[in-house]
Amino acid sequence: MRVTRLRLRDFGRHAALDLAFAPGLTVVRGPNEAGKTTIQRAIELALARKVTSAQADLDAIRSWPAGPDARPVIQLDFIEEDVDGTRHGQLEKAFRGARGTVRLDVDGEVTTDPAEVEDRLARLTGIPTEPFFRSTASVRHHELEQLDRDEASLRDRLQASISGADRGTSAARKKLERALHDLQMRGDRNPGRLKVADENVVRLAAAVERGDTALALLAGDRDALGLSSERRRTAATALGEGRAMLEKARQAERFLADRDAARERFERFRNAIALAREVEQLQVSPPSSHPLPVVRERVERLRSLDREIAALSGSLDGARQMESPMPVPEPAWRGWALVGALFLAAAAAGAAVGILVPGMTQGLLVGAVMGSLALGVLVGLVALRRRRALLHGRVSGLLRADLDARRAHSRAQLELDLAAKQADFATELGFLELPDIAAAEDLLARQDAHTQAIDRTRARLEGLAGTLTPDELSRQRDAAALEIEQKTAALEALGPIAHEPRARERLETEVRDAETSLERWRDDEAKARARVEANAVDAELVAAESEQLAVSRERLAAVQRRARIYTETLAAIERAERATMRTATRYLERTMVADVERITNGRYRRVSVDDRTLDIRVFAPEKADWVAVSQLSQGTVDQVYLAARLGLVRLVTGDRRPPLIFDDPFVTFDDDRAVRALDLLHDLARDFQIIYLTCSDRYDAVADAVVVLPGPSAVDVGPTDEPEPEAERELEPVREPEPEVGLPQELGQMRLLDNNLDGSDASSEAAVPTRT
Amino acid sequence: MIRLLHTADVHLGARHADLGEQAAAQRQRQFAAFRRSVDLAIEERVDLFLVAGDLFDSNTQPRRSVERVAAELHRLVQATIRSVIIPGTHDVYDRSSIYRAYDLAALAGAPAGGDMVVVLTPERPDVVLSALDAVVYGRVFDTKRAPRSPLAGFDVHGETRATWRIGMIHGALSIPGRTDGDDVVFEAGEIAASGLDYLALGHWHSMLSARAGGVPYAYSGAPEPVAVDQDRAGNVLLVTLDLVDGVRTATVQERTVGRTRFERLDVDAAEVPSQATLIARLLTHAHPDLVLDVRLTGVRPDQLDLDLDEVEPALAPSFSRIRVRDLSAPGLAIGPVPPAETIAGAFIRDVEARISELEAAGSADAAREMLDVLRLGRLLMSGQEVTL
Repeated sequence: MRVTRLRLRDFGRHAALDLAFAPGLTVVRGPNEAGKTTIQRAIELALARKVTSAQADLDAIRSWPAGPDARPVIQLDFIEEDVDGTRHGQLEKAFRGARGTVRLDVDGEVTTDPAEVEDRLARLTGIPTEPFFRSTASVRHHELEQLDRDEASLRDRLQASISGADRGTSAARKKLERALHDLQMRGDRNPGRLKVADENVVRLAAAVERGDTALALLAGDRDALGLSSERRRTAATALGEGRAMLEKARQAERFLADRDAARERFERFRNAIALAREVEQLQVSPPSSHPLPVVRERVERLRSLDREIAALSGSLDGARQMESPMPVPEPAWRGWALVGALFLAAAAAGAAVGILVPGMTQGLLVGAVMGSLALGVLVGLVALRRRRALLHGRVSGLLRADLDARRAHSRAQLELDLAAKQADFATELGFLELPDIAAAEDLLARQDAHTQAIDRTRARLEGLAGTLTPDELSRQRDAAALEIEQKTAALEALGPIAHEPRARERLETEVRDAETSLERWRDDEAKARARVEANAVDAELVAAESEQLAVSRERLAAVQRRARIYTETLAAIERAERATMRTATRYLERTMVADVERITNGRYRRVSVDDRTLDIRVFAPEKADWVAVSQLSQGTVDQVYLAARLGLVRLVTGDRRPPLIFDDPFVTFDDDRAVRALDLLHDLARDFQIIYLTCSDRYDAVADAVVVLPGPSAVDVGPTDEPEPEAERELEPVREPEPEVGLPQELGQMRLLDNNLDGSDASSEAAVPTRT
Repeated sequence: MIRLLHTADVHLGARHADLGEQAAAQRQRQFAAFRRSVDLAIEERVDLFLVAGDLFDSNTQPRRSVERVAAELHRLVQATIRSVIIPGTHDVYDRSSIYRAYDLAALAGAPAGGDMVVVLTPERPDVVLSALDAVVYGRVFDTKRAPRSPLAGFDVHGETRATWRIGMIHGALSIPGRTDGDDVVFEAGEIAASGLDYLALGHWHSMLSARAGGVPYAYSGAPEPVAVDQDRAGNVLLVTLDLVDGVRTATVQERTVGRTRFERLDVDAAEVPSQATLIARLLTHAHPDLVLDVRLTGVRPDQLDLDLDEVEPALAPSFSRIRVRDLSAPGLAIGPVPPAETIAGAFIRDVEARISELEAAGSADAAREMLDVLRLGRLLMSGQEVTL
């Protein structure tokens, strides 16, 4: 892309300006404050700034003497050459903030959409952004200053050319690294924001955790307290019920005992009453009308008389027997003696037979003889004894007769005594009104039994009831019966417990267990209450800490996010550097060789560029080694830099060829360096249009066209519409302006007038673009 | 006729994570709203003061908070206004319940065994207020999640102890799809069948008044908003129950006691050229009772260099609380991108590729961070001023 004409209105110093450029190298020359940098800026804005931009710097380029509604207008004519041919274009941008307008006409194809225009311009120039323009196509006057001061300057400036922005990345990286360092400082004296936020979060999180734990503990302890209280109440209720049941059981026991006692009393008194009645009945029906002692005495007397009568009767009977004794039979002894003699005779006969009669059985005969012999002896003895007794009896009879006489006297006496006793005996029986002693004995026995029966019954009665009267006995019995009834009713009122065997023992065990349980729950309750009371956690304070924690976490997250962004930005820049630098260095190494060889008159023919640092080295044949470019002469360094710089422009613009604007970067060069640099530019102008802005005329000789700007004190008369034919060299530098793009035909005249009002040191000297 | 003041969901001691340092002041405002409710009850000489649950935000509130409430109830006792309170879902009547831990009636100086201050519980499901010829039923459970509807089988048509039958529930009126996860849910049909003269409800923080089968019921809402989305909070209800020509009527009046307003404001970052502009714009909403939750959304212009640590302090004195969250994201590089051979071009392509990957992976936050990376790198490499 080659700019053929530039017209400005209300742009910075220039109220109206119209310039024409050669396709190759155009030198725009003017003194300081003539507005050369403004021209550079105008081309930048025309080619890279969106017309609707509202950035503040646009206010600064507005021509202040212009009216309040005036806005900068740039009009630019250009030609574009590519494989498809040559196209003519015209661009007009009127900056009015968001209301800015643009018009791009390329071979009659008109575009007014700002975004579309920017896109088309980027494609035409290979310049996507304004910073990109500044870092590539625009070479400022300070760019070559002090390149020899240090390698970093050269490196940074070269890197800027491939940064795609208007400066290198080192500043960005430094800024990011510093910001990260500030964020991440871990020292105690000057902690970074990350540490401060992190510590806040940790501190508050710990506090909130403690608080929440304490609150949970409080809730748990209150729950435990509630549970213990419930259990304590339940245990107390159970104990109360158990105790009540126990008391009932005990009452039941007492009632049962009382009722048993009452029953016993009842039975006793009932029996006593029966005995009393028995005594009464016995007393009214005795066997004898006489008391027992009387009866006993009479009966004793009867017994005595009876014995005496019996004795007298016996004596009397004996005496009578003695008085008429029975004749004593004389023992018969002769019969016995006869029998014995017979047996003996038989024996003798048998013996004789045995001897006389042979053939008889000897055994049987001997037995018979011997038996008869024995019997004969025995019977003889009996007969002898009986004869002796007969003799003794005849003596005794004589004695007995004397005795009988005495006995008869005694018998009479006995009969008298017996009669007296029998009379007494009868008297006694008559007293008792009994027939005989047996009846008396019976009466005595019955009377005695009766009396004993009364005594026994009385004894039993006394044993049962003491000496109570029958009435008293009845009352006692009735009282006992009443008590039985009452106790029975009371037992029934106590319910089933009254009938449960061993209820008291069971309930005593249960009550003891319930007391133990109650005690345990009381302890638990007391402990839980103590824990609740000891827990001093304040929910509102915990809430406040929690809220602070939320804020702190948010802040920490923001700082962490910031740190992540910085880190990732840094990393992304470094990745981009690595990705591009290698390509750039290889490209430079390929493309710079010819330039360096030419610049150094063939002395250096090999170039090496560091992938990472862009440090340039050349191979010095005299040293047979690589030499850092910074070790070369300043003039050589300038040209190597320029070659690299422009090489990088080629790289990043690809097949596009944007116009290159040089804001007098060689101003500090001596004439020799400057001319050599211009020679390089002149070569470059074969590919790129070059617009060189300068105060000096030393470049005029190598320029394809020279445009002279008037000084600030001069009156700007504007460019002439008709270029001077003799100024043209190889190309037609200026085309006729086309009025239809918006600038009036009388613009040139107006421009002159306006430049008079720009507040500078205006003069009447007209600025006339000239061609050399 | 009987007049009552119905409130609920005071949530004393609630945490407000969104309010930051203003949260403590908001808790004070919540208590102040409760106090104004008591003031209103006394001014209006109501007969009955009802709190339908969640008076406290939790069962672990400090004794100090309980005593402050008791002091307010004491004022009602002195004014011979009876108070009936039911536990809610935050101050649930479990074993650790604050109502078990503290005897509100005793702390409020109410006569022992009386009915001046009554907390209805599962053990004491109703109270007959003979002086008011009313019986109040509290349908309360001892668990946070109700095992059944609190109105299941509830029917007071046969009530003979008093004329007026007032119910209290802390739970959600069933709305299919919306209340399925609620702890306590009941049906409108159950309200209709209850035979109540008025059902005082709590749990929803926004006011709602309606009828079900002729039974009037209402959510009073929170007296002071507790969260941002409670657009109808800040009120209590004055309810008048009357018998006109044998017909029972209920009149519900809404009365404001809360002060805080919550608002959300979404600001399109594309329309904010500078931090100063944003501050000036937000100041147009300034109000001392306003909690303003500002979200910057959309695409943030490159030149907008925001430091929220400066924005919020600058606005804080003009609001009850202001929170500004930057949810905006810088745009992708606008216009032609530098060639890939340049560092900026490589950088932009690399970061944009990562953004695409993250977006494709659904990592929106990470993608937004990468957009910030893109913006920061572009601005830094172009030498523009960026606050780091």
